[in-house]
Amino acid sequence: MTEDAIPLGTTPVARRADAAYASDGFAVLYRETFDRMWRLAFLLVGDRHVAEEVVQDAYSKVLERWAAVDEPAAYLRITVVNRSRDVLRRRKLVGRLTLLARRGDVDPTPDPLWDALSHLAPAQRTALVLRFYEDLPVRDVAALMKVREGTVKSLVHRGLARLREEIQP
Amino acid sequence: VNTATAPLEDQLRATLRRHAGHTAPRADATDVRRRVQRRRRRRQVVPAVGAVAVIAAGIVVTSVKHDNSRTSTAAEVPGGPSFTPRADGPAYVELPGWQLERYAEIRYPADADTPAVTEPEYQWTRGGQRMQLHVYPGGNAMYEVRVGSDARSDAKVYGKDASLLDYGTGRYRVDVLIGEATFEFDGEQFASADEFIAAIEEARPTASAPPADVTAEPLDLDIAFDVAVNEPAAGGDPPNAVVEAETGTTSRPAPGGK
Repeated sequence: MTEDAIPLGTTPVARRADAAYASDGFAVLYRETFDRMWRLAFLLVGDRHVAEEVVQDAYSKVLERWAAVDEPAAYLRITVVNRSRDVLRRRKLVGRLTLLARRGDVDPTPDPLWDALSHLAPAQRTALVLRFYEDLPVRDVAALMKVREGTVKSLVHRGLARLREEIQP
Repeated sequence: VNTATAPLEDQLRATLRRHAGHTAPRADATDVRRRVQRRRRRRQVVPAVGAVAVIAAGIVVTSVKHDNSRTSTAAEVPGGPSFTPRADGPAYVELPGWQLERYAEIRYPADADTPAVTEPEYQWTRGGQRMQLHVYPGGNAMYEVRVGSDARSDAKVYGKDASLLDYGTGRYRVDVLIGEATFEFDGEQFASADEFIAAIEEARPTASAPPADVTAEPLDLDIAFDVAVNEPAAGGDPPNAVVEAETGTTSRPAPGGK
């Protein structure tokens, strides 16, 4: 499956942007989706600056391939997810979240569940964010992560189990 | 959501929405266009630079044949600033004229693939300006990871080849490989890249750790990320993520900062 073939999904923001491509192009896509993409990247990588870089890089990729991509919003989202996962895998950034939280990158209010999320394996974190923040069905999460639906179910199940374990007093 | 009684899924939804509620950075599509333009320019420049380099190499070889006493090292600037961090531990650095606000060490334990590493991190301020330095051990491989994006331009820091990222809002980031470590400076409120680099080049290695009043307790991380994603099968079967056993958690609660 290629990145271009990933279905757009049904988020209202994505639909609005989708309808506006023809007249306003890239600037509209950017304006309509930036906040959402940044928030998605932030939840995936847990670092404001890294999220910004991931998203800007993803938009650059979309712009470079603008003429060749059928569904830029879909392409954009999978690029953001993939780049975020790359960051997590390559830098093991998850482990730094506790430190970053203290320096003000994230909400300083104690949040055991958020802290526990930072201890998950990158694939588990990605699956949980896509499932419970983006509210994507398992099928779409599987398509975005390029894994089988059964794998997504397993990642979600084990991720939740791990979170439950961690936040238990 | 009542976090005490709601199902975990609902608690997680609420937590994710709360943290996603942070204000996204101000951004504009023109930043992306600039990025792409720089990337394209760089792609055009690289072959030209390569051709020039070949010609220059030929000239140097010819010169050396005629004058063995003359040597040349492209990455060094005679008389320019230098920087030689200690090699036997964390890179201790000072930035004269700046207020050190925080120093932390993040320690990763050794695992099957990588040796134990310690990453020092500094945060300074000067007036309204902010500078952060994070030192990543790992040699050229780590440098490549840090500068993975093509949307950068070349720069010189301490006479060494460096990679500059211009966020376009007075914020700059530079990565420079010094010895076996990537020094990543990230600064805000600078009038230009030149001003930013000039500030960086004021940094000097020191023999001892920063003072205790700005030094956070080291953060020991003992987390294993044993996730492997198989390559796609030849028949087009989608790849399968295999989650191996996760074998650890943070070894202790996060220490407090300053």
